Amino acid sequence: MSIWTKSKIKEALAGSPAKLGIQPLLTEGQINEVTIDLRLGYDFLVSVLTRDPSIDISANAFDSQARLSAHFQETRRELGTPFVLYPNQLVLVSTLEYISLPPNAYADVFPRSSYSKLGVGLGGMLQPGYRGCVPLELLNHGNVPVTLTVGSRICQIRIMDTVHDTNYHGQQEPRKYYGQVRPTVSKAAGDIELQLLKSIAKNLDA
Amino acid sequence: MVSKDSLLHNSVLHLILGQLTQLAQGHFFSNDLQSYIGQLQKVLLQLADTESEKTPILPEAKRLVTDAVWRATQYLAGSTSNRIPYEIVYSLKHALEDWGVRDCVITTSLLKSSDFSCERINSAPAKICAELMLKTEFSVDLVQVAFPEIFEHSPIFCTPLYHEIGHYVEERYQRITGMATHAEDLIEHLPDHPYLNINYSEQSHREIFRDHSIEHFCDIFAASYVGECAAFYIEQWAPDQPFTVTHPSTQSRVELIHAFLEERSSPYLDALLETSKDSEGNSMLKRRFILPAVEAFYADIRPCEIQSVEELHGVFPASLAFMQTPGFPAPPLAPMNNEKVAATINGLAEKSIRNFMIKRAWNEHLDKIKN
Repeated sequence: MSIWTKSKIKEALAGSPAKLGIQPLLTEGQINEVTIDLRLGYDFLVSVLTRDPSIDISANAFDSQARLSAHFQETRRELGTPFVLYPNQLVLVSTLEYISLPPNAYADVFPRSSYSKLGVGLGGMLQPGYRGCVPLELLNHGNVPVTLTVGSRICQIRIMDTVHDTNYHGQQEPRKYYGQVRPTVSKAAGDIELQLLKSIAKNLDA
Repeated sequence: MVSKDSLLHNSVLHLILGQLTQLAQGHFFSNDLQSYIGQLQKVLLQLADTESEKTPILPEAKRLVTDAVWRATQYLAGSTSNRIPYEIVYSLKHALEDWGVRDCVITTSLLKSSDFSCERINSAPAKICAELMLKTEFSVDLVQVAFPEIFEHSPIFCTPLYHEIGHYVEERYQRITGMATHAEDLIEHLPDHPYLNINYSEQSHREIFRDHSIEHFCDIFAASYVGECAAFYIEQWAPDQPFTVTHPSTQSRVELIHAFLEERSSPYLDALLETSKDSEGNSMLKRRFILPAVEAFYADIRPCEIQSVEELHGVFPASLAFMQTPGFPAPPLAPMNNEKVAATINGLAEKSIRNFMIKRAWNEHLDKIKN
């Protein structure tokens, strides 16, 4: 594995179609020596408290996908407008940029240190061949609300080559978060292995 | 003491005032809307001041204004809820600007039902207040459109809104209404003329001609921006809609849209185009879109790069055509069912439009800062 440097990133962004897609790339200044700064997007899913005592993603909750949505409220913004992130509040958002990775490149997502220092946490990774805005799960770990600005550079990705090309999107079922342009709630409840685990739990005394 | 006769109206007036206060205190980011809501509050306070002898207001006038503000709050609530479909609103705004409508704010209401609509221009509070000569300072007009909430993130299925704002344009300029007042020779060319009942009075024939012509104008208005999309929705949703006295049949609507897009001539279509000429003699009803090359982008699940306002409108028909083309997604991508294809292409179209909006805003403000 090798980490992409500035010159390799620029090379991959050139050409049509480009190997690497960052749409829109508002300024080349977003490309750093070994990372690319990405911006806060405009669609948010804000976690809210409901009558449910917990978010149930166990196999017992057969309709839990619908219930999961009830724990989040959608809100949209325009470029340059503020968004307040409260302490301990989970907010799902995605980057302003739509990312297209080649099949032989993987990316890590990190917060920018300026935001980490305010207590804003996020993290993630992008599979080779990924298509979509980068999903960010924001959490304010501090004890003071932080006002963010839509379009500000909030995170960065670091891209690495894989040893071989992958076929991530060629599997039988489409990927859960493929081509997404706005945040979506967790699809953990759709994990088919949960049924198997439920069956095991039922027969523990057998 | 409030009289028994005005108990309900006064209560409604104060309840709406409460709603407006709530809206004004909400967190949204449009100065125009903030100012409009402020003006509405002032108007209602004026009406609520029943003791005022300086500006006596007739009860009927009070009711008209209260009703208009009540209706407007539905749209204002939609546009201050932070769930605005910015992408389609941005596209519609450009279409209105082509027709010289710049002093307006498009407000949107998300409906649980399947309807698309645009409130009549004369029902907006500012218009009613002006007619009643109430002292107000509205700086913008409201364009009040509504569409199904389920299409909140499906811009390609929201294209009937282009037809709806065609109604706004017609009401503002009354071109078709004017044409219909002396168009006896054209009635026999109306696409649905064979269905006109010969027992109808001449007056009824004129009214049917006017109402049908307005609908056809709005269809052509929509087709001039979003091409085939103008026919797609009615063809798919109401394919067998017959002639009624207020609306043409789906068949005649679709045929006229295709005639316009294929630049075929007919006495009726030519009359619509003639009526819509600008001061330099050019028809305003002309092809105003360019189809962007979406195929290479969408086939690779990427948003397309829109280069101009013409391509902004054109992304709707281009995306629709791509959605209807078999073979997507092609290997090595995993197959998708039709619903997933529609959702994916709608998402890519939405992102393509939003990227165009973002880049324009960024570059315009960058230029301002530099200068």
